[in-house]
Amino acid sequence: MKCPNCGANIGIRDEFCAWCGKPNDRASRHVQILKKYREKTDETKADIETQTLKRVPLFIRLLVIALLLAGFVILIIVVEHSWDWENQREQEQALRRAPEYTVVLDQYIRDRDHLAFRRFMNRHSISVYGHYGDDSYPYRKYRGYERVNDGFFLIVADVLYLYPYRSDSYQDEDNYVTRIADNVNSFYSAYERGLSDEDDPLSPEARAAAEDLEAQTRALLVAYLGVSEQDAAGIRTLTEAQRKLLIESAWSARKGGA
Amino acid sequence: MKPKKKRHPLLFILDIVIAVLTVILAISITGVIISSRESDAYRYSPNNYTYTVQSGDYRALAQDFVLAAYRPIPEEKITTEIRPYAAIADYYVSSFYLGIYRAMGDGERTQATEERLAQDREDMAFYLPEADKIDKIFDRE
Repeated sequence: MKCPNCGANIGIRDEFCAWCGKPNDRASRHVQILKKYREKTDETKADIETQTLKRVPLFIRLLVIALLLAGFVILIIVVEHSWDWENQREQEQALRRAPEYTVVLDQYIRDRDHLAFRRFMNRHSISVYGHYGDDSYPYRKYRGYERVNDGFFLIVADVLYLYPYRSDSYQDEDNYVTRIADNVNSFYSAYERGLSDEDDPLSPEARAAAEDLEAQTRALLVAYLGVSEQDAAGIRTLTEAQRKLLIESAWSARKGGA
Repeated sequence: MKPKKKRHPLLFILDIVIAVLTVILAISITGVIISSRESDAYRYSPNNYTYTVQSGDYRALAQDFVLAAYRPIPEEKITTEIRPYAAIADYYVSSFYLGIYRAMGDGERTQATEERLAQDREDMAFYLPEADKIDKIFDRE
């Protein structure tokens, strides 16, 4: 800039002219303005820092609360699904160890050890249903037999429940007998399906095992529900309603006799 | 001495919320861990079965040890302490099967089952009187 007094070239921050020695008013104002701006900038900076520092504790607390809530959600998910995960893990293991497990299951079928077959299947969470349409699923071959096996053990469970309490007036034993009759019908439906199912045909050994279960069912009706041997022998050919009537009337006659 | 800085009310409330949530979460996690351990311990504990035997609910025993509609108790978990209960359960189911095999006229399986019943009687130890009660249930002298 030029000195307003002598016109010599001087700097904008020179408060006095180096040539004429007079004070430079514009430089003084400039310096004051600069000082003011610097102060304002410092104030603004300080304000920003203060505000930021105030928000940090709030942010940290909100973060901790969010983490704790996430912990609850994770805990609920773990509790809800741990059983499914365990099952899934066991099913994957059953698939990996299928060559070994199927040898054991085949042996149980050959030995007609139906209970051991069932226990083994349950213990290792083996399902006979793999992916839909997957013909290579190793346990698929047990489908037909397992349905018959399941049907039989539903009858067994009910008879085992009925028997100890059959003279207990608090138990509604007739309802149990009706349920047993329904389960006998379900058993025969699974049995007939197993014998004729072309999608899941029974192997000769599984067929023999299923036939053994059918013989055991007839024997169970004779031994525990009062059905005569002659009636039991023809039970397979009866309709569901006839079977139900036969079992219920046999039980009533047995009770009356007792 | 430096004057104590006053906490903002909102921060104070959040601190309380954090404390409460922490306590609840800690209790929940501890509860889940304890219950998962106890359910196993309970399942394999004799105390679990004493009342079942006393009340004559052999079917419940049979479900746990033998029939196993879901997750049977594995053989290796049957300790000497719970062996008598497993024997009662097996005796109950085998007695039931004996009736079936006899009605079928299956001598081989009848004999095998009778041997099994004899073994169960030995394993029942001080619960041997339960065998007679079970025999009575199935009308066997």
